[in-house]
Amino acid sequence: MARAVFGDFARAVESHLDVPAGTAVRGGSGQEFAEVNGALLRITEVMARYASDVSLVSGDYLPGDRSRLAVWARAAIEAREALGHADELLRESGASPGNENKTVTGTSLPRGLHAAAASMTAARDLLQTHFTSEPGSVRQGRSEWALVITSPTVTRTLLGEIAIWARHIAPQLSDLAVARPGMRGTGEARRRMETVGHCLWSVHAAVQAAHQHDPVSADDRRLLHAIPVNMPQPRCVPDGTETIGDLCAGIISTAERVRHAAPIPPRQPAWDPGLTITSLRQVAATGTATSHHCRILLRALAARASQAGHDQIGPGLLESAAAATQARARWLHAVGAVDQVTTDVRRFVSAEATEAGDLALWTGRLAYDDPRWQLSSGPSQPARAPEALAAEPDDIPVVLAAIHHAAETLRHLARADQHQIRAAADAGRILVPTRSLPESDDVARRYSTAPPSRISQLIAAYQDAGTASAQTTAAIADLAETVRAPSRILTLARAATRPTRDSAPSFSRGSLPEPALTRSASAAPEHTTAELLRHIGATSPDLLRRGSEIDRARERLILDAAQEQALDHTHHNSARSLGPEKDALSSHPVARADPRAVAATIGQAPRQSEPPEFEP
Amino acid sequence: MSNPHSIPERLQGATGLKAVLAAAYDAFEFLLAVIRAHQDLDEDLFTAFVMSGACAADGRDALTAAPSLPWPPPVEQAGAVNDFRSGSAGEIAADLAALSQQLATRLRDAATTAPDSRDRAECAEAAQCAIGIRDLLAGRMP
Repeated sequence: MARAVFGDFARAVESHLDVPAGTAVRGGSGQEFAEVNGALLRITEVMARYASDVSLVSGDYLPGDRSRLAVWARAAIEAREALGHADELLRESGASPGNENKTVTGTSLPRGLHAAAASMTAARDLLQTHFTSEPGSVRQGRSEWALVITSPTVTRTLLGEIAIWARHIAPQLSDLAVARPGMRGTGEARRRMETVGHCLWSVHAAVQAAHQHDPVSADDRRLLHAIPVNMPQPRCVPDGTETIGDLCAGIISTAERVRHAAPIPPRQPAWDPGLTITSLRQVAATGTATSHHCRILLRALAARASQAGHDQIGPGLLESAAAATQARARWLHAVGAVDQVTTDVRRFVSAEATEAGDLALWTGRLAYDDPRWQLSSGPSQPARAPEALAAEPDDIPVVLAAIHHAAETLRHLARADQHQIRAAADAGRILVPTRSLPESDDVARRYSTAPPSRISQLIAAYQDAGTASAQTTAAIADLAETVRAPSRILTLARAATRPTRDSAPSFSRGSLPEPALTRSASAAPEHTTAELLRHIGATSPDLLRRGSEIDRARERLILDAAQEQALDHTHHNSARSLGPEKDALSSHPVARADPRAVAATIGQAPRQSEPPEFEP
Repeated sequence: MSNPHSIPERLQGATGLKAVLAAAYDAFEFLLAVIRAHQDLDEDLFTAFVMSGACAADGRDALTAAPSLPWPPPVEQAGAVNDFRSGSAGEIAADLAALSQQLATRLRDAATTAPDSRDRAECAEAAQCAIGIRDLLAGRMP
């Protein structure tokens, strides 16, 4: 069963907000205003939570990204302020969030808003499953998607999503606020409704301004929508009855489980008790087998593409197979390096090693003709015929996606084990036989702590395996893009977690840098002053208000500093002056966080040269 | 430096736990070296060789933990690997599978007769590793 993804809920939000014109309300009675206010309060609460989650100020921007930080951080701050203002207005009106079940009039707007709020909340909860957050502690990533979610790319796109929602709601509030016959006594409520609508326009306008400067692409939105709930599929091993499609799905599911079981530091503790020589050997051997299977499969796909006349991907498939051959050789080298060492604990097989074995099994089942193939099946196993692997041309992207996931997982495994070995070596857990040490005279002991030179050789072997696997992944990513394979999302996710965004995502081979370790989810937003005050039990509204003011001042300070640095940077380089853009930003009505000024802005049509409106 | 074909003879002729452990240790080292030297020769045998190499290393490590293994163990097969035989990868696999079977038999015996429980446990584990090599290189036996 497919896992829920962010896009499922985001689409539901838009569906709930898509109220046909003229059907939003019946007559605009006082009760209807109260119901809409209650539903709106839920909406603004959850949207404000989204905006609070977004950290473009204290997050991961590098010096080269300062101008982007300026525009998007400003958008985040202004969206947060506008939503806060709307929240205040609604609370002043006596609105209570309530829920959709209490709606008595049955008009479509409050019902739609309540349903949209529920979907927004579910979508945010889905993102939160990728983090752990204990009281008083920093939010920690707990999946490979955490880095993606906290990346500047997804953060900006999330703000864009909020803006889209705000833009759907705002005109309906304006419509509701228009006076009609029989609406006597609702003047104050209508004015308030209109102002709340302006606040939502303000959210949209703030994000739109940032989007004009630094656009969010369709691929960025595709990536956000593809983020799944952090709930790995249960372990599953093939039983021999699987179709090609089943095997491909099994490979992808198992690949995700492997990556989940092999976390990348700094989530890793100083040393992992799961690191044993038994696990290391199993991962290295099955990793080698998986890369061998990838090679077989890529060659078979190349033959199939040739049969089917797909000349545009044949050479790429052969190049990918050659890259897989290199990866196999590098993994084989790692296998040999692991032969020469041991650990203080043996026998225990980690979850990572078990899952890596499963991946070799699934990829082997796809590569070989025997539906009961096992790693222990022995020699002379015939490979699956190309026409059986991809009976129809449309099957090629499906099979390629499975290979793409397997290759990406090998890259991940090499890197994870490299860090595990380093941590274990630091703890003195990697041992070598004393008789393998040339100058050792202490032959009475059987093992000795591995000397640094041996550790370096071991780590270098894994580094090489990781690099070769990354090159295979990059080669396959090119093809995945060409044939529109579903695994393209892997490439987008990797691009989003690159340490710099100065260049557009590149799919060229061999150019996939590792995500910077320092840019982990643990470096994500620290606690705000207001949160810390609540944590120590402060409940005084005055204290909390002052805390919020400090937080806002801090954000402003960082933003101003970043913008100043960006200006200095661009002036020095004389490549592209930010002067006019800075002026435009500072003179932009929403930059003053004044919702009343927004109405004059929203009618402005974008210039021809600007990116399109941020809309789905 | 012994003739590589003496490995089976040493295994066969070893008497007493210490001699069996020493011969078995040497046999695992020999298996590992031959497997690593030939694993990339044949596409069909690639996975079987790679996986069986991990079993050989695990078997060697298990015996290293056996208290009765003489230390340092005699290394009599060093250098013999390249002269092992000049057959096809399939023929080499068959020879190694036969050696693994013999190794497993001796280790199983040792696992039931060794006085020390730790020796018994390590011999049993090493015997399993030898069976694993045999299955991988010859195909699973009934």
